[in-house]
Amino acid sequence: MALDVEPAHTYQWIDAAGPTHPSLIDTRHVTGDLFGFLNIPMAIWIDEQGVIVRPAEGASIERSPMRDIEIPEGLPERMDRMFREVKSIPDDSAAYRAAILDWVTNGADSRFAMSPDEVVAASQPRGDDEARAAACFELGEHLRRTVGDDAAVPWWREAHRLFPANWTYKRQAWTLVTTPEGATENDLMQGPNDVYEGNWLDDVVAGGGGEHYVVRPALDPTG
Amino acid sequence: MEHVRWHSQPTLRNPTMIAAFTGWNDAADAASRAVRAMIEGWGAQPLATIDPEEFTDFASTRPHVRLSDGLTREIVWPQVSLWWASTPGGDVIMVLGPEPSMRWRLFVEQIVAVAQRYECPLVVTLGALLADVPHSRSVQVMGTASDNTIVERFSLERSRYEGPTGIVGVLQDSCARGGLGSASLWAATPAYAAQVTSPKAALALVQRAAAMIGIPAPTSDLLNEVEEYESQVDSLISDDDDLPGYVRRLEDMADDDDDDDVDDEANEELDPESGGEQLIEELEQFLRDQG
Repeated sequence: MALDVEPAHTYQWIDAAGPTHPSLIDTRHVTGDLFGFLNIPMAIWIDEQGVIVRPAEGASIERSPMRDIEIPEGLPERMDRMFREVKSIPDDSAAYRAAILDWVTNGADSRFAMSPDEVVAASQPRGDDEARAAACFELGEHLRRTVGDDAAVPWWREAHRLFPANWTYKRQAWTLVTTPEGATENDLMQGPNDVYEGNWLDDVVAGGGGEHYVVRPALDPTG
Repeated sequence: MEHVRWHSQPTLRNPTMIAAFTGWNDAADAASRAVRAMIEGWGAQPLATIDPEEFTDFASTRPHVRLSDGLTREIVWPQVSLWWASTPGGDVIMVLGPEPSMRWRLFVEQIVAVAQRYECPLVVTLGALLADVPHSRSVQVMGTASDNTIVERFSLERSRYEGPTGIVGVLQDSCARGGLGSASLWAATPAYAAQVTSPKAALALVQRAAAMIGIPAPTSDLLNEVEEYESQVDSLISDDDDLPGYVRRLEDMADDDDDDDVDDEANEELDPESGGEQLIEELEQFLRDQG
C-alpha cells in the first residue's frame, strides 16, 4: 500500500514489484489516520478474522547497507550529519522478519500476535492535535487536487505543526517543492526550502535524532 | 498556423528548432539569454512571429511604448518570435519570447506546425532552474528526452519528472504527439543569485545545444560576460552575513561531485569499495525505502 497524493508517483514501484494482489494507493492518507502510520515502512497485522493483532509499527524487513557504511572524512557538514543520523536509526529488521515468520507458522498462537487489549495498549496515542492535523492534511490534499499546489501549502504547513512526528505528511509535501522542474527523479534528500519551515535533516535532529525517527516494533512480548 | 505571421519563407534543409521562453522556465534569464546569443552569434534573420493577441494577458505582460523619430508613438507588443539561420553545421530555427499567459495548447500547435512545415528532425527546448549550486563552479546541464533513440543518441536521460510544468514541458509533450523528435536541456543556476542574469548558465546551454546538433557554438559574447557575472555575484554574497558560508558549503559539495566524476583516487578516499557517488545512491535508496 502506498500513501501518496499523486498516484502516478507509485506506479514504478508497483510495476517493479509485480504483485499478484491488488495494490492500494491511499491518496488522502486515510489509512495513516485510521491505523497510525507515521513513516515508511510501517505495518499492522490483521488476522484472517479481520482483527488487528499488532498495531502500527516500524516494519523494515531488510538491513540497509547504509547501516554499515563508514562515513568518509571531509563530507560537507550537512551531508555528514545526514549520514550520521541515518546510521543512528534503530534497525529491527531481522527481529521483525523473524516475528512475521513466527506468526505465519503459528497463527494466533504466535507469541507476537497480540490480544485486542494489548493492541490498544501498544498503539500510539492520538489526541486533538493529531486529529486536527489529519483534517488539515486531507483538506490540503483536496485543495491541491481541485485548486492547485499552492492552495495546499497553508494546510500542510499546519498539519506539520500539529503533528511533527508524522513523516508521511512532511515528506509528501517536501517532494513537491524540492524537486526542481527538469529533474529526472523526485528529490529524496529534501533539504531546506522556501515553502515549508522543515526539512528532513533539521526535523530529524529536532525530533531527537535518528534514534527517534521510527516507531520501533515491540517484539518482546514480556516487555 | 492561423496565428503565425510570416516575415520570410526561406528554404531550409532539415533545420533543428531551438526554443526558449522567458518566465517560469527561465531562471536567471539563462535560457532566453542562450537563444538570444544564438540569434546574434549566427546572424539569424526574422522568420515569423506568433500573434500575441490570443495568448497574452497584457495586464501582466505589458506592451511597451516607444518614440520613433522622437515624435511618433509606437507600441511594441510582447510576442514570441521565430528566427532562422544557416550555419556551417546546418540550418536552425530559433524560438524566443515570453511564456504565454493562456491557450497553451493552441499556442504550442503554432510552434509544432512550423516545425512540421520545415520538417525539423529535432526540437530542443532550453530551460533553467534554481538549485543549490554555487556560481563559482561549472554549470550543470541536464538533458532529457522521452524517445529512447534520442536519449541514446545524445547521451540524455529519460525524463521522470512529475509535477507542475511550464510551456517548455507542454511544448515537449506536443512535439511527441506531433511525431517530432524532441529533447530538453536544463541549466542549474544558483538560487541565492536568482535576480542576476547568468551568462554562465546561458553559455553552458549554448555549448550543450550546439554540441548536440553539430554546430559551432556562438560563445564569444557570453564568455566576455562571465567574469563580470561572477564578480557581481561575489559582491552580492559579500554583502550578506550568511551567504558566504552557505556558498562555501555548496562549493565543497560541487568539488566532491567533480572529484567523483574525474578522480578515481578521490573516490577511493571517500569510499574504497563503492565510490562517493555510490555512497549518495545508498543514502537515497535508504530514504526511498525506509525514510
